[in-house]
Amino acid sequence: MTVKRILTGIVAVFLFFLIQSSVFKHLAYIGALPNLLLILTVSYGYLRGEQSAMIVGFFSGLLLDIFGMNVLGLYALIYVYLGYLAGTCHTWYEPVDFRIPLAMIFAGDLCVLLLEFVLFFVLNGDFGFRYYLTGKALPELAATMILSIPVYPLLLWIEERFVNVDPAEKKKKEDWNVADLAEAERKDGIS
Amino acid sequence: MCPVVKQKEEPRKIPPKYLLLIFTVLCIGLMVFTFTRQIPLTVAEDAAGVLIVPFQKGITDVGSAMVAFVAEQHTIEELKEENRLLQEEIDELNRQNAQLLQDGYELADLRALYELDNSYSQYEKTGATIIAAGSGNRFNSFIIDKGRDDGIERDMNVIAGTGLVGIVTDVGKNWARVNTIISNGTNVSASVLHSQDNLIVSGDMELMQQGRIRYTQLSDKDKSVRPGDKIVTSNISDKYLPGILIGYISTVDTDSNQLTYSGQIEPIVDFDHLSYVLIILQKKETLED
Repeated sequence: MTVKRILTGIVAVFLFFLIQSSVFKHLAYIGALPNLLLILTVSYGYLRGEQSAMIVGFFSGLLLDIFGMNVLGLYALIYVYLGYLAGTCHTWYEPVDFRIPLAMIFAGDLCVLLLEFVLFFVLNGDFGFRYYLTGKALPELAATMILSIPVYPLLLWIEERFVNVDPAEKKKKEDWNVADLAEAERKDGIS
Repeated sequence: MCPVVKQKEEPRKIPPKYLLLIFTVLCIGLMVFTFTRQIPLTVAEDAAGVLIVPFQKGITDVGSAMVAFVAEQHTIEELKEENRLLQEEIDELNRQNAQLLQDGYELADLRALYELDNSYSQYEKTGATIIAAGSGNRFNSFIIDKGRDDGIERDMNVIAGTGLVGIVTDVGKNWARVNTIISNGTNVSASVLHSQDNLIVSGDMELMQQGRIRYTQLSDKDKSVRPGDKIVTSNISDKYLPGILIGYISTVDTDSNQLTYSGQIEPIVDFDHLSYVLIILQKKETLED
């Protein structure tokens, strides 16, 4: 199972970076580039927990650094923390509920965009927040959210269909669900 | 006696907090070492270049074919638009022409500069295809399919057609990153072609979306600079070769100090539709050799 996780992780980072850098550059005219690697990092945080998300985040960030920055490690650091924070939400993992991961992607993208504004604009002496917001941040946020609607379920499907097929894990999950159900019923009974 | 039952299932995992700490130290270490250039970037860049660039090339080829197909559907609209732009350009050129004819001294100056212009067209150049958008500050840089193996070096000037596009900021084995002059925080020392007045051309997030560049600190003592004047890279720039066309002045505003002028430039390069660029293999610092 670990091997499957590692393999899907590598393929996902590789593929998402390629799509992000090569395919989406044609979308640059409309001024909104969806942030696929952020969707990936946050989704894996939710699907797999801190460890996977941090590793995926590190390599996603490293690729962004290599192809976009003069210094290695800046985006890697940002994405590692993003993965860690997203990973702490793994305890709420529930395959049928899409609201939590989408909200997480929204919050994560917002944080990264604000951080980018501080790092690349404020530190350059450019304080045009309104233009940053309307010109880059909001379109990117919208594009990322629109794209995460098909991408997150795809990742979830791959995860559930091919990766999490370990019988012990499955059983554990079922136990969890039974326990959750019992808990919910108990609560209903009280109220 | 311990009441907590140990779980056997996850013995391999490092606790997330320790992993976070390890990654934090690793990233900060990478930043410090690559910033001070103690670890050359080239190892990581070459590895990534070999792994990623061939795929990016493939996707770009397929993408260009698709874009070409879509573009054909819009040909008429585009032609109309192009016609309008060309008409504007003709108007501008006419205006310039009249100005030049009027002033013999300026003409002599221009001839001198024209020789300069010739010399820049004689520099050895190599063509490259844009294969990806740069990922850092995203709209502003792009990746090309030529690298160290093709003789590309840091700080080489990049042009498209006759206009300045930007400068090479990173070089891998088979790829290089070009930072465009319209990107935020980029400053180019330039001058007005006919009067040789110096100015600073600065990339700007706000104007970038309108396809324009800001200029500042134009010291125009005889107030001869008008919209439509050509802006070229200056002799005093330390990285850009002199006499490369940047664009045309579109507005001139007086600064609050009443001494200098600032405004907007219409770049000659269409940054939205770049796909092929030329890299000048001559660098400014080695020009005197």
